[in-house]
Amino acid sequence: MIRFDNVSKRYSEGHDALVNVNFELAAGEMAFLTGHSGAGKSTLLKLIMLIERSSRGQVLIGNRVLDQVTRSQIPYLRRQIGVVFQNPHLLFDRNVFDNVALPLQIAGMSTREQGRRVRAALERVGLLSKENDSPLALSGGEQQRVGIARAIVNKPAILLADEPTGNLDPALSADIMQLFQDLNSVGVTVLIATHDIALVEQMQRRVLTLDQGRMTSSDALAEGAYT
Amino acid sequence: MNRRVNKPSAAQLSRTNGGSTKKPSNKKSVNKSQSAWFSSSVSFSSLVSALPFNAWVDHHRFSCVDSLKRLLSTPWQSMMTWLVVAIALVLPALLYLAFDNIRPVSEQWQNDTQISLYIQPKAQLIAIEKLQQRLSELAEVDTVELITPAMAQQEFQQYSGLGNVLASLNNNPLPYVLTVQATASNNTPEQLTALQAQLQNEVLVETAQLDMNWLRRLQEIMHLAQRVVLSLALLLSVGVMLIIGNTIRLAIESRRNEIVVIKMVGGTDGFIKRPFLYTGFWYGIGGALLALPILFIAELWLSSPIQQLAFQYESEYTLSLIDLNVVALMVMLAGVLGWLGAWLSVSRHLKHIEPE
Ligand SMILES: Nc1ncnc2c1ncn2[C@@H]1O[C@H](COP(=O)(O)OP(=O)(O)O)[C@@H](O)[C@H]1O
Ligand SMILES: [Mg+2]
Repeated sequence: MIRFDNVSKRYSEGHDALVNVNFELAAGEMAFLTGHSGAGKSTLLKLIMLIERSSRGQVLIGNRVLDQVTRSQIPYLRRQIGVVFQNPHLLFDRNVFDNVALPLQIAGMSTREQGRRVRAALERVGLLSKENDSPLALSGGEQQRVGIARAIVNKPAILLADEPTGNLDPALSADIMQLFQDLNSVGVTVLIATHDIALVEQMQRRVLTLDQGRMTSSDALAEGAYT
Repeated sequence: MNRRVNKPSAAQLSRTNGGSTKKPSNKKSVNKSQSAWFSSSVSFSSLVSALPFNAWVDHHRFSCVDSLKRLLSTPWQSMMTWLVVAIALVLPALLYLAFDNIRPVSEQWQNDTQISLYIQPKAQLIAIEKLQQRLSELAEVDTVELITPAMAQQEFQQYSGLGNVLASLNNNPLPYVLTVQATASNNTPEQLTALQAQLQNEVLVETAQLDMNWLRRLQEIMHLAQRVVLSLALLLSVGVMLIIGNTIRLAIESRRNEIVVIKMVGGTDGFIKRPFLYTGFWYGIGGALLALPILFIAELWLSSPIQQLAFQYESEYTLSLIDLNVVALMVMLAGVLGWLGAWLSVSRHLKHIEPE
């Protein structure tokens, strides 16, 4: 589903954020991306979202070579990929429902269908009762879950998360991780970048480790199962 | 095991990519694997690349109404832009109006143009009267008036204040004069010049004088004025576009966060631009509507000097108010200018707002 072939990323300042990265994530798989701060985790996710383009090598999403995706096609790629950040980037000028409905509005879905999907997504993150609230009235953990609901509302094949628990205490973090696991269990490919090693170890999943932009391990433990 | 049979993005993206329809088999496998995804049976196939037409219309309608609501929710801020736009529109409109009103007056002046025939000093009155009779029967000529030296002297005394100078002379030095008024259909500058040449050939006529220079000059001034109005209108149109563009830039800046989120979840540039284009449109329309009462007041204020001017030239004259077509044109033009200004602004600034 996600494949990196010898991918390097050099920012215009000349800094090498990723060097010769190779890995493959199968459809329906769930993996963690770890490494010290500045190791290149966010950069790797940005390449998948086409927020940045690789300097060398190929990134493939579902057999599609991202180099060949034109600027005007990027929105359609992004509709296939849900993304969750440390800061959930909610819009405070509208309520929870409208925040979650945004991707569906963009896709031009009918209002009725939007209602169904939004409620399904909110139910999944346990916030159905808050649909009419302002995001400002929610706690940090709840805001993060609204962000997740928005990321999954149009049923993307892939869910990316960049430090999704960075702002949360351990109990809330565990909740969020459980949510990702649930989503994975219904077929979503999940890739979570985090430097929270303790959390990663609890989860017993495949781990991709970056060090100074190089992938030092893509978890030999799971290797056989996916290649 | 081969789990890579599930390639939803490939199938999905190939459809977004100009509608190429390869790998239909992938779509099937997507549906199957996604059927467990939520309780709904809807799968990827419900997401299509191009916005459905209905949704597109809906978003236009929504953007149109929502952008107006936003402007009205900050009335003072919006009013400032509307006022600036209004002033930029009033200026050329007012000049146009003045121009439109002066034109009939200048045409009136043109009608007043006459040819003065200064008669040979030795000519007999009876011969002069015969000439007057003959000339007045010409097709091009409307009226011919005889001014005797005595009448001319009297008039001269009355208007020049030099009456005493003339009175002190023993003989009246002024000649007989015939003033020829051409018919309305024969008084273009060219026709008058031809008539003047013809009259110059009359034996009794010493000089046939047509004071055309000022008429020509007036015409040139009118042409110049027309160009000035036009170029001013063009310049101010560009000004309106830039003003609205700049206001839109600020609006974009204040909605930066929203734009980033929309880009992140797959909003196209068109989707993001649309509300701003409508905002520009409403700035234009609002400015034009605000310009109308200002224009009306200016019209009233202008009407009295123009009417006096017209009165001096004995024309029956009423102020022509700016007509409804011009008003409609102005409002529409302003809307288009606002749209264009917003488009320029949004095209320039949207590129720089990307998710990080
Ligand atoms: N837009 C950018 N321009 C230049 N350098 C960048 C940019 N983004 C990240 N970097 C650099 O690339 C390296 C990797 O950054 P990042 O991918 O954010 O790491 P991580 O998410 O693992 O902390 C860092 O050294 C960072 O300074
Ligand atoms: Mg990071």
